[in-house]
This record gives sequence, C-alpha cells and structure tokens, in this order.
Amino acid sequence: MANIQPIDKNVHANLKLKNNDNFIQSANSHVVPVVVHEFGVASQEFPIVFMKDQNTGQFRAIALLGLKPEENLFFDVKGWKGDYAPESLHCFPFLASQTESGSNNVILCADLDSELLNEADGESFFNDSGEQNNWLAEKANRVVSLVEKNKLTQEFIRTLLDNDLLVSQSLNIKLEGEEKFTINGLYVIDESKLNALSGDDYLTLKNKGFIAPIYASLFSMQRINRLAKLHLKK
Amino acid sequence: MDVVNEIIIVGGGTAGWLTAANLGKKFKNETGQSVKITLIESPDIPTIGVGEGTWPTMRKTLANLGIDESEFMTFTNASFKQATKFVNWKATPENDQKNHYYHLFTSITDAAEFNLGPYWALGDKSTTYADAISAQAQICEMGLAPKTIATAAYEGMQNYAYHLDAGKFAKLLKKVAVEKFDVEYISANVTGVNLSVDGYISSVDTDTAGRKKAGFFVDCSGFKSLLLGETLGIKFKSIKDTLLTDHAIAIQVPYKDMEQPISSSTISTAHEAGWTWDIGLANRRGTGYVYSSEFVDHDTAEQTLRDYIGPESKGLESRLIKMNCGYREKFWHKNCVAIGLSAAFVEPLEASAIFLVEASANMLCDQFPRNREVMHIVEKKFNKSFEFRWQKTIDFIKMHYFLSKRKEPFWQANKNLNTVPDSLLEILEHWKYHPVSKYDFTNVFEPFPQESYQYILYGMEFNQQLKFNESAFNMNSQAQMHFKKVQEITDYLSRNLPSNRALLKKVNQFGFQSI
Repeated sequence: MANIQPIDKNVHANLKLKNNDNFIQSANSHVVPVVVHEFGVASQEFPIVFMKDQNTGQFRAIALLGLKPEENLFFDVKGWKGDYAPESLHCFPFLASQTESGSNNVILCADLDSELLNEADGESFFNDSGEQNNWLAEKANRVVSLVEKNKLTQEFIRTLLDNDLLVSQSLNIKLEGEEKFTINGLYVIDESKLNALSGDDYLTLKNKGFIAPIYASLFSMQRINRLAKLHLKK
Repeated sequence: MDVVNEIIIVGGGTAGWLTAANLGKKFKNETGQSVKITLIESPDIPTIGVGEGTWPTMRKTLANLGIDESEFMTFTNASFKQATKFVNWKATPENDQKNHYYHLFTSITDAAEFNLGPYWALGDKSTTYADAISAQAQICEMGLAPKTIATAAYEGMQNYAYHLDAGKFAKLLKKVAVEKFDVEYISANVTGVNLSVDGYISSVDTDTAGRKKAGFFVDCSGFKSLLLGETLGIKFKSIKDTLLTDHAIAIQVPYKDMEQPISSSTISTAHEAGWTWDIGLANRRGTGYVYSSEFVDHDTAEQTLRDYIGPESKGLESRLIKMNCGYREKFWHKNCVAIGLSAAFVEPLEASAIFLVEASANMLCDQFPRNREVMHIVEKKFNKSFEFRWQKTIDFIKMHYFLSKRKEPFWQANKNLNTVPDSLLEILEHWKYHPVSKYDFTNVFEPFPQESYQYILYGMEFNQQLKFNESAFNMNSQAQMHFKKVQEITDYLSRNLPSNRALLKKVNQFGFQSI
C-alpha cells in the first residue's frame, strides 16, 4: 500500500529523490495512464486505448506498454527504451491532493514508501536554508498541471461515451513461436461510428479540440505491431 | 376507418405508469405523439405497491425505455436479485434441521439445446441440481453480486433481476412517461364511465378535470377493476380452490446498519399455513407472511412473521392485506384492456406480478389496434395469450405446494387432488418417467422457462424415474464436462465478484458505464 503524505519541510528536510531515468515504478506494468494532451506524441510509440478502472468502473485513457500482464517492453535497467514517456511516469512518486474536498487549493504529496525516496542518494528536496529546491518546485507545477490535464481527459472520454464512439475490442494476437492469445477489456474508438456522426455532433467535437486526439488514438493502433516486434526481440 | 388517436389509462401505480411509458415511447416520433396518451390517477387512492421482485426481463424493459440503470437502482433503492431460495419447502424441518433449494436465473447450458437434468438425475446426486448446473446458488450463499462495477449497465456475469421499492418505481416511471414520452398526467378521481351504444367505452367523467374522451382505455385501477369489472361487467374467477392462501401480513425491517449484508436472493420460507417472503432492498428488508386464514388466525400469523424476523421485529408496524386471488374471465373487452391487479392477482411466490404487467404492456404496444373496426381480433389474441400465461403461472405456483412433503393441515389440503389442476397432474405424470423437454413448452410466451421447472422439481426431490431408460441418455461425457466447467466458474466468480452491498455502494458513487 502506498503511504501518501503531504511534503513538509520540517518533517522531510533531509529527503532526497533518486535518479529514475528508466521509470522503475513501471517495470511490471503493461499499461500507463495518459492524458489527452499527449495523445499526439504518445501515439508515435504506444497504442492508446481505453480501459475501465476495476475499482470504480470509470474509463481511463491508457498507453499499452506490453502485450501481456506485467510486461513492459519499454523498461530496461539501463534506461527507458522509447523516445517518449507519458507524463504520469515523470510525476511519480508525487501527486497533488486537495487541501479539503471540493477545494481548488492543492498541496504536493509523495508516496513515502517509494524506494525512490531516501536520505542518502539523489536530489535534495530542500536546500540548506530550508527552501525547496527548484526541481521540486518544477515537479510540483508538473503534478498540478497533470491534475488539470486529467480533468480534460475525463471530459474527452465522457464526450466519446455520450456520442457512442467507444466500443469494446478484444485483440487476438499470434506471435511467432507462441500460442495465440487474446487481450480483453480494451475499448477503442469506432471509426465507422465517428464517420456516421451528424455534422453538428462532429462540429462540437472539433470545437472542443477533440478531433486530433481521436485520430491520434485511431492511428496509434498500428503501434501494436511495434509492441509485437519488441516482444519478439526480448 | 375508425382510427384510435387517444388512449386513456385509468390508474397509476407500477401497472399504469409502466404501460404509459411503453405506449408513450411506441407512439412518440419526431413530430410529437401520433397517439395521445393520458393517465388519470386518483390523488386519494394509495397504490398497493404489490411486488418488490422482478424477473430478469426488467433489464430489457428499462433499457428499452432509455432509463439509466444506476439512476434507476439509486432512485428505487433497488438491489440485485439472482434467485429465489426456498427454505423448508421440501419438508417440515425436524430438530431445527432446515432444508432449502434454489430457483436460479443462470444455467450453464440452454436446457432446450442440451438438458443436463437427466444426467444429474441419473448420477449420485452428491451435489444439488442447482450447484451441478450453475454457479449462482453458491454466489447467493456468499451474498455476492452478479457483476462488478466494471461490467456495463444491464449486463451481468450472472443473469439477474431486481428487488425494488414498488412505490418509488412507479414514481420513476411516471417521471419518464411524462417528461420523456409526453404522456399527459391528470390528477383526478374518475366518477363515471360512459358507454356508447355498441357497448364500447366512450369517455370517463372526473371530479376536477371534466369529461375525457378516448378511443381506447387501459384499466389499471387495481383490485377495483373500475372499467373492465365494474363497468363492463367482466366477471372475476377466483382460484381459491387451487391456491389456498387468502391473506398477507407485511412488515418492513430496517437494516441494523448500512454494512449489514444484502441477500442476493428472495428468501421464501415455508411455515405451517403458508410462507414468508424476505426481500432485501438497498435500504431495508421487506418481509411478509402469505397464509390461509382457514388454517391460522391473523394474530398467530403475525406472530409467525415476527418470530421469523426475530427480536428486531419489536415495535415494527405490520400491514394486513386481504388477497383475492384469481383472474378476470377476459382481460380485454371491446376497447378496454385491464393490466395489473385489475386483471388478475396470484400470490407473489414467483414474482409474477410485475413480470405479467411487463408482458401485458409489451403485447398491448406491439399489437396495438389503431383501427377500431378490427380491434376484436387483437382482443381475441390477447385474451387467449394471457389466459394461457395466467393458467401456467397458477400451475407453476401450485407445483411448489403439491411437491412438498410438509405435514401440517394447510400443506395436506394443498395436496388434496380436488385442488390440483388436471393440466399439472398430467404433466407431472409425464415427468415422472421423462425429463422435462422443450416439447413441453411449445408456446413462445410460456411465462416460466423449462429450466425453472427443473429447479423446482429436482430441488423438491420429485421422484423422477429414468433408470429404466438410461441408455437413451448417451451424452454423459459432454454432461460431465459441463458439470466440471460449472465448478471452475464457481471458483472464479467467488474470487472475483464483490458483495451485493459493496457493489451497490459503488453504483451510488460511480454508476455503471453504458458499455
């Protein structure tokens, strides 16, 4: 279980963040959440699809990092094997929490159980005079901005659902030298339903800026082949 | 041509509003309503709120009306129903050794395609029939839900129906009918019914809204049967010689706290002169004792129910309901059809009340005769269809009593052959030497499917003799495969399904997705 605590210079004066260039937290994840703002660039690397959170039933946008549970084809002890890593990987082990429910004020928190945090190696949270270091302030901005981006991503997904554009999709995969297998629980944008939208509905999507991410997700399905190649090279 | 352009429904409640919403949807098009639907509901007569259990068909009915499942469940305090659990029906318990069996909604095979019944019956019966062909009885014993929050609305990992608050359900349907399907709602008492020379209803008079004319009338006035019974004189046929219960006493039981488990099945427990229902909604339990006043007095009956509930029944209010079980000689006469209690009522043992309202509303919508000149043909079809469905329902309920080995006078009276329909005796005689088969269900509108009969027959330990003809059942290896598969599914589901209570909390918080 994560131990999420607000960062407090009195308590965490000596805390340091280890280097995490290879995003070690994702070593055993075959999916990672993505936000709608990065669909374009992420679609060059990963299939971008939708999945339900098993705990809430709510849809999330995710990038597929592997073809099987716990398989991350981009992780390597020597460094991340892709040209791009999703924003949520950069923010770990930090997150923003509302000061109180419904409030717009957020405070920076971290998972204190993360192996990336310690008092020996890495970048210090605070300098000798007890002020937060620049990198931490930048990280805080990135974390807060990710919260906003997540909100827009949720609106994007809601719009897809309202327009009946998502469909459940099973991926049947046959790799050389392996038995055929199926990835279930994925949802993708249905291109024929998109093409069948009325002019008014399409215009609404355009005005919300959702056309580009829709196509990014559609084209990103080609990246399945890339995953297959990486899988075979393993 | 004499075209029907207005329909008036007299009476609200589940029957009235479900019919109104369905008719409203059928006749709504882009330019408005092609047939005007009006519902007149008395502000003074309370609804009976009969039936807090549905059949799985309700999911389709609600989806067709465009109702969001999560909203429906939250609004009506609904919970998931996966079965009826019949406790102590087989025999009077001795030394407090209870017995039970399940009537489930899910089976591993479609019995019409491959009936596992005989293979189970010819086996060692070390597992119950229900456990042999379905995971659902175990799911119910564990109090689990039929799906997870990640399952789409109206879909299930196991088949399911609902337990719901019938009063709130009527309110929800009213909102949908009025706001979405343009049904006109008039709050008034009907004070008179006017006929034209040909005996058709021409209009109804109301106390506050004047005279209302229409080409067709739906009688949802409850036991009163104001249009079909009182006005058109269609007689009521009592079935008290077949189904002996005539009263119910009901008590609503609050949960001790909002963590108390919610049962996944309707629990029907046999007692000396009838049976109790126990239905767990999201916010309370509804319980009641259905009994025959010939065999027990009202005070003793109430005490039986309170004993069943336990110490928490202290101080809870009870409500006595007189049940007049039977049906009208016709349900449709000229330009009037009765739906709900105005048409028929049988004891709620198999949750048939709401189910038959749905069926009636569907047939009325699908077959609605816009041309009055040929209305009598639909009338004939409708009457034939529903007489069949009610008789089948009565036979099916009677079968539960008839197969019981309970000894009390009420139960013995139920086995008296004078009380058993010939149609039931004949089919049971057949099933004594043959498995239930699809050829016993040739009507597509059979209210209860083949599998339902097998759950009851085998659950009740009906003495079916197939041994002499064992060689006719030559697909045993396939049958064993299915039995094994059921074990695997049971294992998987018991590890992956949330409790009923846990899922209901998530439905409130997040809701189901539409896909």
